[in-house]
Amino acid sequence: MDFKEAAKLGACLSKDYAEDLFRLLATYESISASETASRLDLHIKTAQDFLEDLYSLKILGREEVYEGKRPYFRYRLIVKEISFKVDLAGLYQDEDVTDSRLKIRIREMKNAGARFTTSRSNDYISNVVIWMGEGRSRTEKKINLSIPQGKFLFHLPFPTAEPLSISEIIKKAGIDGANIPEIIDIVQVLIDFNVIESN
Amino acid sequence: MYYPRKLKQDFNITGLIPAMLCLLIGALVWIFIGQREGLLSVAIFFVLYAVFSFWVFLRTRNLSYLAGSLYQLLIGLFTVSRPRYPLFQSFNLQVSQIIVVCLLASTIWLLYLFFTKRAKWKGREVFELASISTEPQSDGFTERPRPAGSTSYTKDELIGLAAFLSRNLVAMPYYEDNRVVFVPVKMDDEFNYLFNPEKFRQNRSWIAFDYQGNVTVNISHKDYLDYKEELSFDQLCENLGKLFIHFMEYYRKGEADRIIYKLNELGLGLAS
Repeated sequence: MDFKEAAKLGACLSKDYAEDLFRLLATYESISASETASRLDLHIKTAQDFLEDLYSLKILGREEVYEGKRPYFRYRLIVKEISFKVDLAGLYQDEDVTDSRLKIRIREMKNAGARFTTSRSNDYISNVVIWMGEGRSRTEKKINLSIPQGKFLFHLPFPTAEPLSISEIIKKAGIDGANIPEIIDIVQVLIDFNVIESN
Repeated sequence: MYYPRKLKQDFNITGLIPAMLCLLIGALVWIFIGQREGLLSVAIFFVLYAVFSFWVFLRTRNLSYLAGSLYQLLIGLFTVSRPRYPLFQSFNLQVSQIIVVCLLASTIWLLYLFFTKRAKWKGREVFELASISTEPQSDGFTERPRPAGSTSYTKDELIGLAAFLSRNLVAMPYYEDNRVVFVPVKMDDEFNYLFNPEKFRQNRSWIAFDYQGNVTVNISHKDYLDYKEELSFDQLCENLGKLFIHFMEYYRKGEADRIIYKLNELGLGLAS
């Protein structure tokens, strides 16, 4: 199951009426949204959405029926138990350490408008504050950094300095190879916010 | 050797304000109250300045402040004990003459220290030296500190360098748990440092040596704006770091006097 499906299932199960609704599904051969809504005292749209979500997750089957009026769906349970497994490793791009992203040459962008705050020990950056928008709609976004990310940014070349590759900066900062995914992540975020320029 | 100046000219007269204030108040007291009271008020001001200078001497261990303190005390005493015109009868002629002789001696000592630049706060020299080989380049400023490399030294050597730079008014040290931070102080900016050192360092440039040998540099926006044109910020930080690493090397070799020689070689004015 991918993360989005897991999130949808989690959201369904977390509803306070979920247990009662599943009890109905387990008891009935098939049930419609209006029947469910009337039994549980829900709005019909709420019941409909819930059942549709379970259908999209292949927990329920549905059948279109006609009873002299406009068609509607009847839902029935097609599984006896629900279990799900999410592979978190799939959330980051698990490329080799020597991949092309480590060769990207980067430096701080000129007039980036970001404020770097150093840690108490002053040997790494603890957060970056980025100003977004203009005038009255100007907002600030604060990104708190992990220590490896902070050490990496501490060694980021200045706007007028020669750009360095990510791997060179990692080496200068003495960062462990296990932290590379989070380094690449923060670099990507800061590139998107125009704080870091790459070439 | 001639070095082109990269810092803006210094027209600050902060250092003269206390002296002008003292003379002004003395003159007003003389005019509205009387000559005796006017001279007495000037004498009191000089004695207060002597106490202040001695306090600065205790903080920096710079000899010129001891000489200044002595000079100010003696000139205060001289004001109230002038031979043949003493404000107090308890000063006989012999005591007055001794004060005059001591005053002349302390004046010579003070002038010697002044003209040999021992009394000069050398922050401007530090920033000029750092900028000598720095190219103009715009839009380079960033508030981040920059790692400036590493060098080897012991904790005792670092503390020794801190005392040396403080004594010679090159950079004032701030001792932290894991490092010593040097803040160069420019002439006429010294009062800001002396009266509120913690606030002073907040928007000033610094060079930090940690106890593992790493050197970090931060140039403040205020100090960067002091340059006539926009310089390559990266080079400037790097050069400032290298400069202090050289200072450390000189100190470790027992050639600390070369630090002062290099700074004085720039030939900046005595009061800038």
